[in-house]
Amino acid sequence: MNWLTVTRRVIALAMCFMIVATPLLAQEAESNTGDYMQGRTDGENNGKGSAGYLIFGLACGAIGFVAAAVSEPSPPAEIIMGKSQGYVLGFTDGYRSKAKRGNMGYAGVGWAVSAVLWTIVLLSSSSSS
Amino acid sequence: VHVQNTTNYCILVILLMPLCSSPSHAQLINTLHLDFERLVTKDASTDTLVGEIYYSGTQTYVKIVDPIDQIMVFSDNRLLVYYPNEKSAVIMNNYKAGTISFTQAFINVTKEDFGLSEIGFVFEETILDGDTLTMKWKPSEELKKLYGPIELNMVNNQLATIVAWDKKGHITATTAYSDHVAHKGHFFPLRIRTTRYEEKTIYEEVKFSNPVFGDPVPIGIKDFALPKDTNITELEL
Repeated sequence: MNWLTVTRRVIALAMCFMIVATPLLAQEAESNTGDYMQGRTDGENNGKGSAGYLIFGLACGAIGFVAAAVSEPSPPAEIIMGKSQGYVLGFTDGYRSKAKRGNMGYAGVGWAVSAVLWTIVLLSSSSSS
Repeated sequence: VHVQNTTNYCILVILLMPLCSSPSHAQLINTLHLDFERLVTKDASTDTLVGEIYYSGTQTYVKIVDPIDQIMVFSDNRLLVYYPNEKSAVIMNNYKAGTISFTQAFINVTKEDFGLSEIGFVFEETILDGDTLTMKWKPSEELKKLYGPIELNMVNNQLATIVAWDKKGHITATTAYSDHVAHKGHFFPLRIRTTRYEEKTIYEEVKFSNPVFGDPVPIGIKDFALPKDTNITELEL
C-alpha cells in the first residue's frame, strides 16, 4: 500500500465522518439552543420580584434600590430538576433577569414613598418652626 | 413541559422551608435516604421525575434517573448540578433558594408547629373534632399583605391536610399527606398530593419509598466530587 492509497483512504474516512457527524453535531447544538431558549422563557415567566424589597426600599432608600440592582435571585430547585444543562442555564438567566427587575421595581417604589414621606416631614417641621 | 409558577405557591414553599437548625430535629433525623417519584400534571399533561435523595442535615444529594441522568448537591449555599453522561456541570455559588420543598415537607413533620411561627405565622386556635385536630394559623401583621391564613389538620397524630389561603380569602393550595411511616414517635408521609390553584390548576404528587433513617451516607455521596474531566459552568448568584 503506497502513500497515495493511504492518503485517499484517510480522506475518504474523514469525509464519511463529516457526512455522518455534521448533522448530529448540528442537531445537538440546535437542541441545546432550543433548551436554553425554552428555559429562558420559562425563567422569565417565573421570575418575580420579592415584596421584601419594598420594605428595604422604604427603610434604606437608595441603598435598598442598589441592593436590589446587585441582587442575583436564585432559581427554585424544583423547576430545574430533571432538566438539561441548556435549560438550567437558560432558566437561571431568565429568572435572575426578571426577578432582579421586579426587586428593583419594589425597592424603587419603597424609595419613592420614603422620599415623599421625608419631604412631607421636612416641610411640616420647617413650616411649624 | 410545564413549569410551576413558584411565586403563586409561595405559601406552600414557605411551609417547606429548611428547618434543620433545631437540635431536636437534628437528633431525630441525622441522615435520611428516600426513593421518590414525582408527578406534576397541568393541562392534562404529566411530567414525571424519578430519583433518590440522601439527606444529612448539612448536605442534600439528589440523583435523578428519569427523565434524564442528573445529580444535584445542595451544601454550603451552593448548588451543584451534574450531568454524568455529558460530563458537564453547573455550579451556582451563593445559592439562596433552599433545597427541595417536597423533601422538606417530609422532614418538617418533626417540627411541632411545622416551622410556621419561625416564618411569621401566629397560632390562632385549635379545634378538636373526633379524631381530627385542626390548627389555625394566621399571618403576622407584616405577612398579612402577602398571605392569608393556613389550616393544618391532624388525624390520629398524623398530618393529614394543609390548606392555604391568599389575603383575599381564596384557597391557593391544598396538600394531602398519607401513607405515613412511623419513626421515633413521628409519622412521616410517604405520599404528598398538592393542588395549586393558579391560572391553571396544577396537581403534584410525590411518592416516597424505601425510607432509611440514620444510616451513614455512602462514601462518594457524602463527599461528592466532580470527575476531573468535567466541563464546569460556574455562576455567581
